[in-house]
Amino acid sequence: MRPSDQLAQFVAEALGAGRSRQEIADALKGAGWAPNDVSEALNAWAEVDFTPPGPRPRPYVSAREAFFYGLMFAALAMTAWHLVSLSFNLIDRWVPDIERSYAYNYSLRQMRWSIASLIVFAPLFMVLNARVVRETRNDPSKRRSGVRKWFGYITLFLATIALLVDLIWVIYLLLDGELNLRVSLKAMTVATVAGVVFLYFRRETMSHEDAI
Amino acid sequence: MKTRSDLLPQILLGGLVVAAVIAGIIVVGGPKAGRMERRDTIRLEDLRKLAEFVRCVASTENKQLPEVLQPQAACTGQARLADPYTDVPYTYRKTSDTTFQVCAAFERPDAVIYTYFASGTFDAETGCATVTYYR
Repeated sequence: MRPSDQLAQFVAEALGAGRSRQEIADALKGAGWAPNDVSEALNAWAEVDFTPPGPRPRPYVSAREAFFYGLMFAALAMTAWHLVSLSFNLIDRWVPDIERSYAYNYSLRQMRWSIASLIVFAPLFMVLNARVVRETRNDPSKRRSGVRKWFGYITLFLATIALLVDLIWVIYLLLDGELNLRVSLKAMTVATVAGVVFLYFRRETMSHEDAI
Repeated sequence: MKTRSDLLPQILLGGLVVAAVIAGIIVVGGPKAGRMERRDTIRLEDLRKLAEFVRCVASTENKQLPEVLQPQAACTGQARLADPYTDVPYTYRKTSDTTFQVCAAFERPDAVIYTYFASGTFDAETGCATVTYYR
């Protein structure tokens, strides 16, 4: 039996025997459990006047959701990447770098590729996201999906990294004396796209109760 | 209140994507622009081969640059003397004893890249390459 199972069993039995939550928490802390272990073990059981106590719903993992959230994650990643890439090329076009004027034709090809990717992936993401929002509204238990949490946090992680690297980039260029209009616009683009992605997934990860 | 905060990122992302795609299509142009670029790439290659052809012709004629460009049995190579799409002959001009120009009509000069030209310079705006002939 794993230690966490032992803990769960102990809490269930203690609650079933009519001990108060405070008593159980004190006993467990005395046994050396960390406060968050204790509160997690206690939160697994509902606080109702009923013995034995009813279990709270737990996070779950489903292959069907792995497919949906994986696809949604990929679609968002492609959308964000090509949105930034296309914006960079447009900024290079509108605010040309007099020191580097070549690679024009190449960037045209790159822009065509980005446009094609956005036409496919942006609507796909929108459709999948709308579907997820609808399903969650109809069935709030979907909020406990482990896959959903993981993809949400991975996205949040990547968006945060993008924002931090963007900040480092700006500070570096400032120190290097290269912080001009073109670079500032690019930095703002990255910050905007990462910020929107951040907004998207912040609410996904807001309920910490069931986070795993 | 809740629905609005749910919709905000959606509207932002959708707006950004639509704006970027529209701006992108305006800049890169449609399929027609793509075909123009591809034809221009062929024209630039033709000019390079044509310059090679001129050098070859000069070497068979006592190292004198020709006044007018004509097909030469000894130097046929793969050089085209006329634009394969419009059939308009490429322009050849002897500008001095050691320099000459070869020109073509480019359809999208601002999109021409890789403008490197062996022992010469290429200007996409005029569509002309000015080449030095080293005897």
